[in-house]
Amino acid sequence: MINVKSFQKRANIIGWLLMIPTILGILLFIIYPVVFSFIMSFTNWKFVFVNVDFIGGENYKWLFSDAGSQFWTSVWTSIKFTFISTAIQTFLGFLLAYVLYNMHPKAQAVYKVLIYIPVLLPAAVVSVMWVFIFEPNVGLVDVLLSYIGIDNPPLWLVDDDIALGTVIFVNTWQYLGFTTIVYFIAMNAISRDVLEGATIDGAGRGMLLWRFVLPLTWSSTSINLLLSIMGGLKSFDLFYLFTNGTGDHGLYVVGLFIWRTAYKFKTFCRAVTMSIVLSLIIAAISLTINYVLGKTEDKIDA
Amino acid sequence: MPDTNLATISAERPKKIKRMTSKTQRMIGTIILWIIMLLLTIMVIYPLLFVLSTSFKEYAEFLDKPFSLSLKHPENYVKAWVDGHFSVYFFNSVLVTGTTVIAKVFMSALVAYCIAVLKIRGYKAVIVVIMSTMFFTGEITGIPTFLLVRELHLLDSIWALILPGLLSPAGLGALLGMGYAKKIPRELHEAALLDGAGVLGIFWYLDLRLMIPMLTFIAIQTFTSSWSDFFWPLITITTNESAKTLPLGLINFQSQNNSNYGVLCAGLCIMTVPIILLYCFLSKYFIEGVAAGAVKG
Repeated sequence: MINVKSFQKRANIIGWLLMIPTILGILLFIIYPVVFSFIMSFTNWKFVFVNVDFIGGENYKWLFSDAGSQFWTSVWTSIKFTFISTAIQTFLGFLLAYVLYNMHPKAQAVYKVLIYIPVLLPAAVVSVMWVFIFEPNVGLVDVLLSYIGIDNPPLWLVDDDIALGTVIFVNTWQYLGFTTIVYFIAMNAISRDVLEGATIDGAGRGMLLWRFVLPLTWSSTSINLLLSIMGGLKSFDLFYLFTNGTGDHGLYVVGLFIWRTAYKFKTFCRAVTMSIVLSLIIAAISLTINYVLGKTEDKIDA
Repeated sequence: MPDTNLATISAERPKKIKRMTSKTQRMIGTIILWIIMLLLTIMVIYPLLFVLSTSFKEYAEFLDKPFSLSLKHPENYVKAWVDGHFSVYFFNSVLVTGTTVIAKVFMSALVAYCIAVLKIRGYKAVIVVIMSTMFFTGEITGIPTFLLVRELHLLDSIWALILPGLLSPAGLGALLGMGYAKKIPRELHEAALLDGAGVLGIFWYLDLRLMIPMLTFIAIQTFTSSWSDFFWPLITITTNESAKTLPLGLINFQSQNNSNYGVLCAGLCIMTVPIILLYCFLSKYFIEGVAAGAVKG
């Protein structure tokens, strides 16, 4: 017992010593950046660190004035992208998970592994691959279309009306596996007896899905929606890669806008201001969705 | 809630004839679902196979027979590796990802041990701090971290990638590790203590080893995100070719060899193979990890 006490004392000292790298990391890469960003959003810091003065809330005023309207256009593009792809991805993921759930166990094991592969691919790989597949005339898509007699396909990544749809498609292609697996794991947790009982009592497949599987996997719906929406609003890589960093063809999302403000136009003060506003927007949207989903979950539980 | 529903359904139990038709309907439904599944599978997997088969073709061959399978031109890989500098990018990626993974795994394990096992004084506050770090993502921290790296004169060198990888805190990893370490029985620690093991000894010989499954998961997560990281290298490595990692190198290579599809696809494959290999051996961890991450998320 005496031993234990002296051990705890030593444990405290050595424990805190072992925590030093973590604490240093938090200080350097979390606390300093957050505080610094906040302070710098009230200055006129351009790029190099000379002649930096406090200018009050000018950056925020600028953002909400006519001059800053481009920022809000880019936010809107991000929101459009996020909500359309989230809806498609969640719907398809749910159906796919249900089919997977009803499969023969052996097919299930193989399929589960296959569908998750795209999730693991780096964005650079995904974009280069799809740029190649969407290549005008010689790419896979155009070649396939020419076989069925469509000789004048649109320019998938350049046409202003289509490019966003193409990115949504590619994004869904990449992350569908994730949504599916999250749903699939939740479905496996449902007791088979409940579903069998309902089937014996004559519930059709649609009824089964709507009245049993969907409510019983509701927490997965929340997770999928939240992760997909938060990820979508932040997305940068695909849009940068598909437009070479220009944000042309209606692909000017907010991540790209902030990047250009900082590293192309060298106005760091505005970029940090936008980052703060974007983080608040993301927090607001996710909290709202979390609240709504939580309410629905209560209703289901009741 | 399921019970009440069962009751209402059984109350309106359909007639026998109706069930027959619904059976054929169900058959048709199943067939349609299978067709959709098949199409979706092809859509998910075929593009990857297409890239793989193209990586063994010359340009003319690709234009002529894009769908044929052949292994005629493995020299595409040599071209990408040597002329395309993929050897340099690959080495850099291995270096950056390797150090990041080792650092993350160790930091997660240490934090988990200090908090969940040692319960060092003030550990509750530490948990709160670690949880709140997860809220602040790259959007807010990116620019000040860039400035930090610039003031340390590390821009355009591989250190700009290694240093944040080594030190940036392991938020989710630490939390998952804590949850895992909490479940290690107290008796084991007491026994180790009686046997004369010190604070570090218990960590090294007992907890670190017992945490291996969770640490494997953390390693995999860190590996995939670090291997794929595009944004941070993009802003820190602007001109120095010899410090670029695979994602940047690939983009660079694409802009120079736009129509040399065979070599480009070979490059894609070089970059993807390590992930796929790891996935083949450890797919269980990847997929169970989704569950673990999802519960926490």
